[in-house]
Amino acid sequence: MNESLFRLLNERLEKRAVERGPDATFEIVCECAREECTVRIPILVAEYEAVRSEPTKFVVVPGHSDASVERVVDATGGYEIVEKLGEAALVAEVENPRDG
Amino acid sequence: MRRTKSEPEPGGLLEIGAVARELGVAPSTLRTWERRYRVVVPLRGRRGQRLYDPEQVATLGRVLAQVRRGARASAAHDLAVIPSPVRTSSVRLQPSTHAPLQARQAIDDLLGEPDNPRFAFYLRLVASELVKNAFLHGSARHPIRMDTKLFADAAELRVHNGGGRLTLRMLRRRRREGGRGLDIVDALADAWSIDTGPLGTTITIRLPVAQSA
Repeated sequence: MNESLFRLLNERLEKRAVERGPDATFEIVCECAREECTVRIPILVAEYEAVRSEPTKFVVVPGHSDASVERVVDATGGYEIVEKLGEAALVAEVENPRDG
Repeated sequence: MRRTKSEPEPGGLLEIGAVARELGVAPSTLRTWERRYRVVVPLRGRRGQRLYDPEQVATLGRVLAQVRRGARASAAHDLAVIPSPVRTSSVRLQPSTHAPLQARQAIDDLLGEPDNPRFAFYLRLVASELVKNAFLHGSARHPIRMDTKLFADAAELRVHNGGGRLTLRMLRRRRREGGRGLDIVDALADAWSIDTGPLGTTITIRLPVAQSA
C-alpha cells in the first residue's frame, strides 16, 4: 500500500522538523496511492500530528483522493485530509508505524 | 603417493608454507593473524594442516597490502574483506522529464521480482528523486548516469550528472526550499555523499534493506 509507505517516509521527515516545535512548517510527500507522485505539501508539525493521531487518515494534494477507497474529511488551500474506508482502512491500521 | 609440503592440495588449496612464500611473510605471521584477529580462518587437511583456498589467499594479500600501508592487522581485515554486490546495473539516461520514470524502470529491472516490496519502493523513490534532481540542475547536454549495486543487506546508488560545480550555498538553498529530493534521500538512506566539481556532480547513497522492513 503506497500510502502507508509514503506515510512512513513522512514520519521520518517530521521527526527532523519536530525539534523546531509544533508551529514549525515542514514538507511532506503527498500520501496518495500513485507511486510516482512526490508532490510536496507544506504543513505545520501540529497539523500533521493531528492527522497522524488517526491511523486511517492521510494527507493528499487536492484532487489526488480516490473515492473508491477513501473520502475527503477536511480540506485547506494546500491539501486535503482523506479517511480510508473499508478494507483500505484496515490495511492503514495494520500498517500504522505508530502502532507498537 | 606422498606430496611434498609445498605441493598444492587438490582443489587449488595451498598449505601455509606456500601461501607465506607467495605473500612474502613468515608462516607464523599468518598463524598469529588467524589466532589474534581471526583474519582468514583456513580449512584443515587430514593431518590437521592449514589449507587456504584462492579467495582466502587473495584476501590475505589485500590484508597485507593494508598492513604495509600502515593499518593494524585487525582493522586491515575489515578493509580487505570487500563484500561483493549480488547484482549491478549501470544506465545512461537522457536528461528529460522521462528520466525519473526510466530510473524507476532500471531499478525494477535490477530487482526482478522483489522479496521486499518496501525496499523496492524506497529504492525506486530515491532513484527517481536523484535522477530528477540531476535533470533539473545538471547539464542538458550530458547524459545522466545511474549505477546501482545490490548487496545482501543494502543497495548503493550513484547518480552522476554533468554540469558545473554544486556549491554548499546552492545545496543549502535547495534544502531550505524543500530539498528537491535530498530531504527524501536523507530520511531514507543510512549514508550519502556528494562529490562535485567543474565537470559534474555525483551523489552516492546507501539504502539499507533492514530499515525498509
